[in-house]
Amino acid sequence: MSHSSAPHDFRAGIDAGLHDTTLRANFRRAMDGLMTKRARQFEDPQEWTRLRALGQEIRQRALSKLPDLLERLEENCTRNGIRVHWAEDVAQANAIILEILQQRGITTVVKGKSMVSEEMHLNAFLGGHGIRALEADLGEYIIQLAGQMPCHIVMPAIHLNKTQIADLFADKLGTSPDGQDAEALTAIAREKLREEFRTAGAGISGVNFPVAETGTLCLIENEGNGRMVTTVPPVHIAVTGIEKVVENLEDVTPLLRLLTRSATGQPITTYVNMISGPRRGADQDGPQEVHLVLIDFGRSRVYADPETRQTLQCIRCAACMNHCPVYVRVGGHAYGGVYPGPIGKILTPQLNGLADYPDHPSASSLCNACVEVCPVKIPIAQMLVRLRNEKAGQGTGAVQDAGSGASRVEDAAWKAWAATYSTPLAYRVASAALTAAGNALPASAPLLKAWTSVRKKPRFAAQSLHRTLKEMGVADE
Amino acid sequence: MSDARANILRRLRAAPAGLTQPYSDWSVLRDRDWSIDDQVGLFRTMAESVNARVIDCVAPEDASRPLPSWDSVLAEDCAARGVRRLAVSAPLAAPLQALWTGSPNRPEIILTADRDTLFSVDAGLTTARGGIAETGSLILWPGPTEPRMLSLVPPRHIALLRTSRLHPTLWHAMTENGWASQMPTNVVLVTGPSKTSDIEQTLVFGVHGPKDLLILLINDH
Amino acid sequence: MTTGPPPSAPVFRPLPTGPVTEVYLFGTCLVDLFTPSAGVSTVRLLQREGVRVIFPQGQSCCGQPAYNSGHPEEARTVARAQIPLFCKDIPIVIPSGSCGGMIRQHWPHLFAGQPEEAAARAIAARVWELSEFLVHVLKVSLEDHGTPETVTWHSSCHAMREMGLTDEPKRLLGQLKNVTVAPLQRERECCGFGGTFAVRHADVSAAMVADKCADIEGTGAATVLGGDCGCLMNISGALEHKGSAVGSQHLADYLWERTK
Repeated sequence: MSHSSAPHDFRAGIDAGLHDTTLRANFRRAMDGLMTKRARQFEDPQEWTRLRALGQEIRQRALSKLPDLLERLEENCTRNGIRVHWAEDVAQANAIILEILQQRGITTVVKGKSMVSEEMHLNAFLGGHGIRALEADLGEYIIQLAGQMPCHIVMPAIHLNKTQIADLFADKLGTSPDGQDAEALTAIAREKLREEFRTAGAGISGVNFPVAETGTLCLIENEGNGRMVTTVPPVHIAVTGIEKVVENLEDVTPLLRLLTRSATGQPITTYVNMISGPRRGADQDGPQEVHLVLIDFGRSRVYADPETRQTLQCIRCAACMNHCPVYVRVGGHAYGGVYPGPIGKILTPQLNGLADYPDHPSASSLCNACVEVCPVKIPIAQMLVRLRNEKAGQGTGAVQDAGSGASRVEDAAWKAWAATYSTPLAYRVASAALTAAGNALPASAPLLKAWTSVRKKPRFAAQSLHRTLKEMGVADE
Repeated sequence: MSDARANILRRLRAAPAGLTQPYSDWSVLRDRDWSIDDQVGLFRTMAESVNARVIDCVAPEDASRPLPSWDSVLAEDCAARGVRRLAVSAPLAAPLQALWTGSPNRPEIILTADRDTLFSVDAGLTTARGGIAETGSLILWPGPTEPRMLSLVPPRHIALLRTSRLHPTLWHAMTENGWASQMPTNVVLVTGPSKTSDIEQTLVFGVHGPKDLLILLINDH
Repeated sequence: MTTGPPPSAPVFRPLPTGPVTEVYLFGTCLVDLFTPSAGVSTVRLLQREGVRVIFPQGQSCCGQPAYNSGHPEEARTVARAQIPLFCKDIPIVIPSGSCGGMIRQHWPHLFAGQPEEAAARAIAARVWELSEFLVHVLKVSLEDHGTPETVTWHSSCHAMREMGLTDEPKRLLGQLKNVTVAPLQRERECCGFGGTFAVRHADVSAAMVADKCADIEGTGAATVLGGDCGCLMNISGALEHKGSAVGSQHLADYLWERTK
């Protein structure tokens, strides 16, 4: 994958996010709500521990036989009448979908929520070929109207409040901006989209769990738009990452429980839709054609390394971002790319290269809040550290653009630090110097400056613990 | 296209083995020692918690319990909510026609899979293959006698569920009935009416799917 | 308000067999240079329970600063130098959940496939965070000699999530009869320290610590206590910078001062 543009400027995004007080308030309120709802679902720590162990095992087992499962998925989908396509990159995937639509003369498609289609920039691509792609999930519909990217993978419009949405609808749809509550705004969207569902030429959706054993595509949602786009139009096209496949139908059950409870604190979503083919035999309705596009987009590279492979266990619940102290303050748009928050910090640089996303791995205090809530136990903090190693040129080179962040100055500083801290005599000399004169360092010294913008300068003690304990006669053995 | 397939599979096969765990403990899902009455109670609690309406009833021929017949509950509810055009599942059309013949103020019974008609009716009446106690979910199994749209596009969905068809969890429903060897084109679990909280996390019922879900719970256990 | 998940099931840690009469102290580099009093108080708390404390003078740092900054080679160099200093099979007590977590959780990973792997794993298994050790191993009972006071407690992320501590520090504070602990609204949220994160992403870190300070001040406590000098340096620096009246102290110092 070539670097078509300048690296993503995470810092500018952070700056914008931090200083937008409305945005921060919107995120804080939303994340507090999501955290509280999730916590209520996992009040029994025993159940949580056992269920997430099961979730992790199922995902790891599936990944351990991924190529076999993909072939089995293809075979069983094909037997069910689903046409399976494979795409290595965005251009291939978009071309596949365009061909399906153009061959059938389709000019309008309705879409269910799909993060993979965001990776493809599918709406813009289809628009460029004269095909109207309309988002049908309420949150996605809102941000499509606003011309924005999702700021959250489950709640795409959570950065906007109802006043902002009412103004947006007034501007784009001509409705009244006044006195619109969430219910009224929802009713407006329902009205606008109903006719689109009825007449669209095709529906496009993502997939939560593709099942190899049965050739089944499981989709979960609350609004009914996912069922609409996969049921009413004559053609259904599903897109999904190759990593998502699970082996057996029963594997869906613990993952479903973990996903809905982690994501929105629901025991289950309103709809769990299991699609195993286009209408067949005497079926009375349902699409005449179902297509499944399996996309790679860099995932096979992430898969190549057994440690980074754990990133692919993700079931896209967003609990990591809901609990992230950085995400809640900077907002989803700061991250660029499709996946924000902790999972985005490890996934985006792996899919798109460390050179394009140089600040992602370091933008974490490694507080482990994400690790604690991940329902499939992805060691996100360990992965961030691994990416830092790769960026500095101290990894295995498995990650795209490894070594792109190597800095001679930093390397030299760490080498000097290591030499000092691994040699007792050197450390004794250095600590004596720091306790004696360290406080004379000006607050404007290079690294101190960032620290002292909001904090007092740390003060070195007059005497180190080493010396103090020696004087106290504490044993040195 | 076939190149993409070959390239992806080749790259995946070239990767070294990763983490895996050969065995899992499923007891966290499996162990449920709920009586049928427990399951009925839990089903109701969970379904009602997401705004489904659950009404106990019996089959018209069943006089063993002091509960109303489902068709009379249905007629009353339709009258109360202004349902004039009711699309129904094929197996229910004839019995309902027979039960309602001669009774005044019954909604029109519409037997169709036509998209535009379904978009225009007031309510859709379906069967349910089963229910899931733990989450208050209906298991819908549309197919040759029941269009998929019947439970989706009308603004109200009414479903008949027999208490004898309740399962503790989805896992039990799936494994005890061997779903994996007989998946139809579409299976849908429905838990409450359609909803969203995409705007400020405010819960709103009735987005693209039905705004109202009535479960006629036929006590036959 | 619930802002975090319930704690995971407590991590099962086998307790040392037999009475503990001798421990190592790993002082940590931050305590060594910035807050030696916390190390001294740790020694006194342990000695009072009849435990002999050994402080190998050759020690320096667990290697975490480099480890978290993409420099595992340098982290290994420093960590490797510590290994031979703690070879006796006795507990290693650390007045820091973060450094404890580094050794317990990350040394096995850092030394995977290295000649020192077995030794690193053995040390990792013997590491105890101070409050964890006082509560579970020594089962201390504390007698409060101080005047009535309200404090608040800041949980370190690594103590909670890497060392698996749940409420050990608060159980110790709960033994002090004149001390009231006013909880933070968001006790489980990071203070924004994160080592080099505070410098690399200074703006985000600043926003985090500003919120933490507001939370602390909102409790009405006179003092914020913590068990990690990294967090405390961050929090106290920010409190002082804004001219707050709230003081800060390491748990070891606070416990010792009130019970000596």
